[in-house]
Amino acid sequence: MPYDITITGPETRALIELRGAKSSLAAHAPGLLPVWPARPCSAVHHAGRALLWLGPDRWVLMTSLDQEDTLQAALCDTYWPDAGMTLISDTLAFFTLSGQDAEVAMAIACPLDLHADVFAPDTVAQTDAFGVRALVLRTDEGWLLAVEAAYTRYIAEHLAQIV
Amino acid sequence: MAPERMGQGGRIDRSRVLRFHFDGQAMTGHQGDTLASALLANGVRIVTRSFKYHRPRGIMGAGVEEPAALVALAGAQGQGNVVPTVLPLRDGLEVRTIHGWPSVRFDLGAAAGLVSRLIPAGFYYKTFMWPTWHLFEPAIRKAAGLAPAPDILPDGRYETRNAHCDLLIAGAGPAGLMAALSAARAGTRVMLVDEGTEAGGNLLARNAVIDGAPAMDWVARTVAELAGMPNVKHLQQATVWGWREHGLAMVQERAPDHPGLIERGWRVRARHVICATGAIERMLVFPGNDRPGVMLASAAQAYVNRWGIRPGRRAVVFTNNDSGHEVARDLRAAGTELAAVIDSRSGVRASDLPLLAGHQVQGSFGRRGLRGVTVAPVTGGRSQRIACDLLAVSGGWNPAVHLHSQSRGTLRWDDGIAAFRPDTPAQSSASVGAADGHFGLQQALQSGAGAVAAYLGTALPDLPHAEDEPYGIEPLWAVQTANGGKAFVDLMNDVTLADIELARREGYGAVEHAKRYTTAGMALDQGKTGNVNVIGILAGLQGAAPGAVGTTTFRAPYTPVSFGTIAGGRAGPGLLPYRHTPLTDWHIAQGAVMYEAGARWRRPGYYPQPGEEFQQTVDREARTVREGVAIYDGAPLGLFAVEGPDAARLIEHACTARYGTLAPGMGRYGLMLTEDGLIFDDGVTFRLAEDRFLLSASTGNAEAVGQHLEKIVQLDRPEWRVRIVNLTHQWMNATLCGPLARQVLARMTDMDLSTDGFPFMGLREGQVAGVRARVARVSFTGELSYEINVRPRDLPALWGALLDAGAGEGISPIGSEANHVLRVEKGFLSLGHEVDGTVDPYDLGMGWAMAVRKGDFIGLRSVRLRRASGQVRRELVGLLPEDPGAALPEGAPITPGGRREASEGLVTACARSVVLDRWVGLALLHDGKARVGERVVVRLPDRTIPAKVVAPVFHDPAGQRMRA
Repeated sequence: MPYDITITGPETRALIELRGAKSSLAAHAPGLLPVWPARPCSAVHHAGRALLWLGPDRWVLMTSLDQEDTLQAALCDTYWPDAGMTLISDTLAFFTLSGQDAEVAMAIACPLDLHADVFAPDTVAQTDAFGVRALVLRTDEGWLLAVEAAYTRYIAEHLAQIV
Repeated sequence: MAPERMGQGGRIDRSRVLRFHFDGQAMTGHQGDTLASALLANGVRIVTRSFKYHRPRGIMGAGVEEPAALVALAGAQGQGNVVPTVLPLRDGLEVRTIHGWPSVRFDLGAAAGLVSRLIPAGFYYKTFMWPTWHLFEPAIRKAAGLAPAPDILPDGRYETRNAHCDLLIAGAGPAGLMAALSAARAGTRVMLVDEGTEAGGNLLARNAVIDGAPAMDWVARTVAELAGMPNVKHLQQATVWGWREHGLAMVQERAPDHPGLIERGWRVRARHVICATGAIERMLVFPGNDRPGVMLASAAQAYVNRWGIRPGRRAVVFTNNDSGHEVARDLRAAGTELAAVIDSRSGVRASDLPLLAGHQVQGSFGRRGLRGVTVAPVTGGRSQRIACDLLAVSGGWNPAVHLHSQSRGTLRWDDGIAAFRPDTPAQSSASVGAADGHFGLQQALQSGAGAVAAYLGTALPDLPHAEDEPYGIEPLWAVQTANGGKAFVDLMNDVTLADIELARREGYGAVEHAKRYTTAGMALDQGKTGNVNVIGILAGLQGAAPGAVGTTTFRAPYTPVSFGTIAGGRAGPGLLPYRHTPLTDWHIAQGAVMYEAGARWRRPGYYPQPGEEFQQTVDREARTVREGVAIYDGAPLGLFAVEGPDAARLIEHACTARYGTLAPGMGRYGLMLTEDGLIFDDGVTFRLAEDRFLLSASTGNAEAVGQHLEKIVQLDRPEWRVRIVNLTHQWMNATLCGPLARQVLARMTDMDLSTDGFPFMGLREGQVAGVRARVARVSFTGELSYEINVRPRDLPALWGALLDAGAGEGISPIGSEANHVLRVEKGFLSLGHEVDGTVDPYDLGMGWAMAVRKGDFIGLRSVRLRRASGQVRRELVGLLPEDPGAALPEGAPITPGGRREASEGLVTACARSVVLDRWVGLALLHDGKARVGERVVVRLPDRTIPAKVVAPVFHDPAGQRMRA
């Protein structure tokens, strides 16, 4: 049977990379961040914003593009010695995969074990998709696949081939 | 007599007729047939001609072990070198024979047999060495006669999927099914992979009983239960063809459940692997053992029981083990006249069979097919002829240890079964059933369940009941006769017993040497039916035990795998992961010729205008920069934010120049060196504020520079308070360059662009064309230049605005080719050209970039050590060919006097200078700086080009234009 997959994208999202200790970041961004994810490689969502825990002192704040200017002004235009907040929205292009066979498409793209027992909703990982670096986030509806924006055409070709 | 379809029996659907053609002849088969069974049912005995001697060959096997028959498929389903025993019959197949002219039944190539004594193993190694092997190679390859690749692209695509499981089970025979059932019931994530069209393994071909009922009833119940379990993935017509490190197994699925897919490859990562791959029957080695009508006993049994085919009317079974007796009984039950069972063992008894114990087949006869065999006592004595049209042969069973061995597990010889069996696994795995040398059915069930219990640490579950058939064997590696005739050890490569003996005599007695000398065990079947016979024969010749001879290395693939499956989706546009800038569509629309320009970025090489030759285009674009204003897509330039109290410290540690003294808003050019003091990368670093820097890296090296910096921060200096963020894809630049650049940019920004307000190497932030921008005054062309960095999403708009603003000045885009000309004229270095991994800054005349007084930095000590040695180095120089119209090929060697001697340097770059109106070059030359003014000679295969050594800068040596 053909795969039951719906793919949308590429899409640009507002992204701010956060570097530093949680306490410093929280102090410099009061009220702007969701609660911190409880476990590494996971995401939390609040009020249309998601916070992705990607490394020991590294997070990415993700939201819609219409919030970019506000967040940039509040977080990125000031320098703090103990924490870094850098706008990186244009670095990644996002594809959304949904449908019954979305996990099949992800298994074609990505070498990780994406079984729900291992990779539950809101799990996020930096991995590889079709041989290039990628960020993968499982959502309740399906998957977010983000790749370096320069690879958008290449990834879109592969995804189109699957569908 | 020809084989024939029986009126009943077998696992085929007689109500579904499939039509196909064999060498143009219309034939029919049934759903459930393989191509081989259908050919046999149609009375086809000769399927191909042999590799070397063009001997007629028929079908000898019933599965992956088939050593002789290869065919090709034509048309839309085209495929070369197909093994018909594993190809499910499909309606409309166009099958062609591949080795025989004018036909396989009458082949003129068979004349090779007349001179066979002159072409033993290794003959071509000795014969075709003068003047060169390559002179003869095409003709020999053609004579060998494998099928060419099909000339029609297949209709469909291939796919590669990743999978993970707790337990990968290779083989769905009784042991594999029992293992899968046990593991699945325990809740384990199971992947069960089997090469057959349906599960059952050898039960499909035998009349075995489990729990008092036909064994296939148990198979059907088990498969149904597995199908209902969400933790089980069961693939049929899928082969685990390779097993690599870390539990990575490669699977080829030949009939995926997707309409557009031809095949699917799987990359399976398993915590534990169970090899339930069964066993493969060996051929017996005797003269004439390749005659059509000679067949493996297990194959004859399979054709009778599984496909309802009587492969002969009157059969002789030749065996050295008990399994041949079961085959004899099944043949007789199917209506075949059983002429004799020839058992080389002297002490065996079977009162229900016409048994000749202690006998062996000494030869076969029949011109185009078997008409009878010659039989004699093993101990010698009078021979007799027995008429037959089928000789079913069993030389014993080899556990299919291929996967276990590929995973680097060891093997041991077992005299009890006269075969190698798995010994110590190298990865988390177990071999079960016949793959582990347990040939009994109850043993198979028990070992399958037992392996799972051992892995999971659970108790052995209740097992279904089956009987273990007795299995005894006395090895018979070869029938030695005085009457000659070719006794084949490897039928695919036409390797005979005499060839093995010759290899031994000529010093190639080690099993790996014998394989390469004779080609035994090579090609598509990988010697599945013959390898152990080779080992046994060598052991006999050496007076050693087979275990002491050892095996050749088992390598993937276990069975042939299509290139399509290996490539998967990596074809066409998905072949290579090219990067594109936001301006790619614009470049293409303007007719730009796109290149890969480092790190898989696609960039415009040049923009030809109607009627222009390549060089005219490049000259025009380069001249635009020197005389007017141009624009260049600099989007891929590597860029990193380096921030924190120790940011300056990190950059000074990683780069050669001084940055701690840099004023905010200014930048400095520097080099990055490797620990051994060689140039790794170059770029300009700007200071934004006291603790904030922007570090640029070359396009092709951006990833490596990022990793290099992260390594320093994360591993070497974790105590430093510094953060690195890759901004390569957040800020992309359009570069405005040329003497008129300032006046164009002035129309688009309110920045102070005066020389004092915005000096060379300055960085300013502000608005350009209405978007937020960072503008850097740096130059790769030697002209006044502004790199205008914006968000990638703003780049197309900025680009358009710049073109509009510069229309009055005749602005035009330039590509990488013109950029190359401009940087060569200036003598600016380029990675991959002058920076080739062997040069340090002094070699390139860039000692000025070494801030040696600032303290230690990466590579400094190595540079000093190298310099202290006083050895002559290759140094950067310019070259002016004596003939101004002579181009110097990049990479061409410079040799003393142009003679054929060791080179004294090489051309690193060459371009047609628009300012000098002639070709100029850059080169790395031994002691180059001291040789300015000398004449050197570039040596090419067909000529030499003399050139004068000059300083490596051809334009504006003081750099006044870029500082203007």
